[in-house]
Amino acid sequence: MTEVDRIREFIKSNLTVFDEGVSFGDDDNIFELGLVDSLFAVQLVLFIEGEFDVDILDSELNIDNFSSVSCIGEFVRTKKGQ
Amino acid sequence: MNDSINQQMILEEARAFADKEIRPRALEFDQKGALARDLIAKMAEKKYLVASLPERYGGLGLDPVYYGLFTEEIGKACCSTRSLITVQSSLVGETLLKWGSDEHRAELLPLMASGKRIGAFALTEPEVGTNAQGVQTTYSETSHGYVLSGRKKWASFGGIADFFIVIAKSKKQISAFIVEHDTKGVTTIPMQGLLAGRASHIAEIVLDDVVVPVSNVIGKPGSGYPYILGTALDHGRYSIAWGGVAVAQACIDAMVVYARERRQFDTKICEFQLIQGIIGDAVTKTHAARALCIRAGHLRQERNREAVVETTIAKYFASKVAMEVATDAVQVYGGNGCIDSYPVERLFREAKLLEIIEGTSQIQQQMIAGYGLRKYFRP
Repeated sequence: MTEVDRIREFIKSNLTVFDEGVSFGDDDNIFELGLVDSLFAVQLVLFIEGEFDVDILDSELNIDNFSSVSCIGEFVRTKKGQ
Repeated sequence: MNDSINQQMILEEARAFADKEIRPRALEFDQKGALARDLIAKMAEKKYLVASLPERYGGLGLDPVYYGLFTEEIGKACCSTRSLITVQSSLVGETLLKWGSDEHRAELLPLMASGKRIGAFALTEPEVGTNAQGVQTTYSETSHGYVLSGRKKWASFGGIADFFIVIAKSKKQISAFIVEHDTKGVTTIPMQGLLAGRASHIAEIVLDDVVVPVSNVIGKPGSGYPYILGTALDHGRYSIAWGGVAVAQACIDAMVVYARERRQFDTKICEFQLIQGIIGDAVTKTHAARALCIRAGHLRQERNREAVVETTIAKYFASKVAMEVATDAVQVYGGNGCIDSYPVERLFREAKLLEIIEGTSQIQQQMIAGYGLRKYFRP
């Protein structure tokens, strides 16, 4: 799986909307759509840091970095210098 | 991080410290509505105030499991003293450690460790409890920095804090700020008439056009919710979970002694099977709560993403067990459980608070249910 696939799977496995038909695009803001709950943010930080072996710094805590699959993927690629 | 032999020694020392320095004064603190400054100084000398933080910042470097066990030892002796550690180490210390700038960490954490600066976390407001996104304290950006206005409530140690982490909202964003107590426009009002946490210096904080520099933002503007707040409450819930175990165990310790000494009908009451039923349940539930806390601690140590929900589960269960066991302890004590000459009266009051702070039990249930509905769904 690519990095973006892993990010998408992680988000899908943590949705708090229990409609089996729900879907989201890679550019959709998952927070604004209400697809995740308040615990998710901390889980997301643990996921990114653990899954991709990066450390998110305070100076990188821009909410736009973590709002969608694409943004998280871009953030991870930048962190890993790819 | 300290190795396990060192951590075990720290734990044993903390137990002895609690027995000698804290437990004998717990009633006095509760009645006076204040922790003694000399106790805070002694705890600072032992590096207890920020026990979970790395040694380079003045902490003890306890891993999450040992930090939990340490919290239990302090919490068994006095809930307000445990609350001091919850706020300094978990809510404020861990939040600054993760999301503070290099300057925040270098300047504040060693001073917190030495007890020279006390921090408090200011989220709750008169009209805002569970719905953290609804905070009404506002901030706006000016050429001098940010200007904050609003009123915070229920800030543990707000009455003696030198600085606060304040959660505030602009038109669109929620941010977290470090606000110095001595800044113009900051007023604190101690809260009286409390059911519990009477010695936790709980206060209201009034912010009247308080100007804070841009450098006092934690993380980035807009990251207050959900990231800064989520991190703080996650650490806070872990500490409160262990606070629940502490209350339950303290109740068991008290009721076991009482049941073996108290005689009715020429018989020690521990010989009565109905009393044994109470004690059997209390021991079982407390062991189960501690097991959940230890599991959460191991997951936190691994930085496992399941740690967040397992911490929530531990907090929900341990606080519920604390209330149940404290209720039963009062029952075993009978009339003597209803007077502050015996510790179970205080423990009963303190237990209730644990089901409310750092997220009510009902919110924990919702979050746990969401997790269960995902994890165990097999279409």
